[in-house]
Amino acid sequence: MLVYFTTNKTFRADARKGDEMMLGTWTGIVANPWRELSQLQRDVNRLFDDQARCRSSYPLLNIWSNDDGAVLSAQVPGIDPENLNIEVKGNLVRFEGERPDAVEADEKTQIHRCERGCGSFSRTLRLPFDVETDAVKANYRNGILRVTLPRSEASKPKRIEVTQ
Amino acid sequence: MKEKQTAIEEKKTDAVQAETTRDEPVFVPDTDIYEHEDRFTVIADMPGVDQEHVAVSLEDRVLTVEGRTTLEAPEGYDLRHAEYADGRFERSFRIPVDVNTEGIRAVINNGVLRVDIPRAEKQGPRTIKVEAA
Repeated sequence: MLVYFTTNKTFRADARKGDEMMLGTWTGIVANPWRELSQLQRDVNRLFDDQARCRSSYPLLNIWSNDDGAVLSAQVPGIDPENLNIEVKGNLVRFEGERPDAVEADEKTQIHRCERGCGSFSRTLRLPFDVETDAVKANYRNGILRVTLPRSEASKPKRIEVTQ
Repeated sequence: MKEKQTAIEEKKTDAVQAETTRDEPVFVPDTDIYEHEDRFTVIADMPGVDQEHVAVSLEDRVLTVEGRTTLEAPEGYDLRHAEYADGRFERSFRIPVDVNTEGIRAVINNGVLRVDIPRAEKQGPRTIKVEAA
């Protein structure tokens, strides 16, 4: 039996109910509501964590792919292409760059909105195939970076003829 | 400190307005607004928008910036993962002082729109001559 050190009567009653149910679990057939509840809590937490992570990741990416490779597209407005760094190794792709601090204010300037972020960023992706490093192409236009990542010949699926 | 009366307000649409549906997603661009002694500067991030698909207008002191993304999906590829979508950027601000509409300049570079709005020349108090009838 589990003992709950609590003065809350209703809670204790619930806890007892939980214990009974847990005795039922002994056979491994009846689910434990407490475990279910904590699992639910974990799931909900993870949902919010994922959202928070998604919002904080910069730059935002779109990824297309086919049998021959992948195309990545990232929203990175207002960057000097020389400050963008793309590294490819095996199946890993890393974007790095820096957005300069563009606040143009002196003592007399009043800042009404300051929403555009600045600073350095980095994002690494693991692709499901190795990349033909020499054939990677990157292009920056209108604030969108587009990287074409061809799949290396060695990692492409091979068709094997079956002989009799 | 009390907000100065020159503070820029974002234009709010009327609450009673009917709900509208759009045929494409509309985004609110991240924006910086500076008020200098002689001008306002509005800088908006609009990634994927080029010079031909951006519009800036000023009407009744309401500045509206609009832009449409123009990047096509690569041909022959399937979209596997999307964190942003193509669509339209739109945002409006109410400018509380008189501005020199002739002197407004807008530039878009690398997906960043910049609008410089000079303040109107200060006009001294005008005295009106009263003529005898």
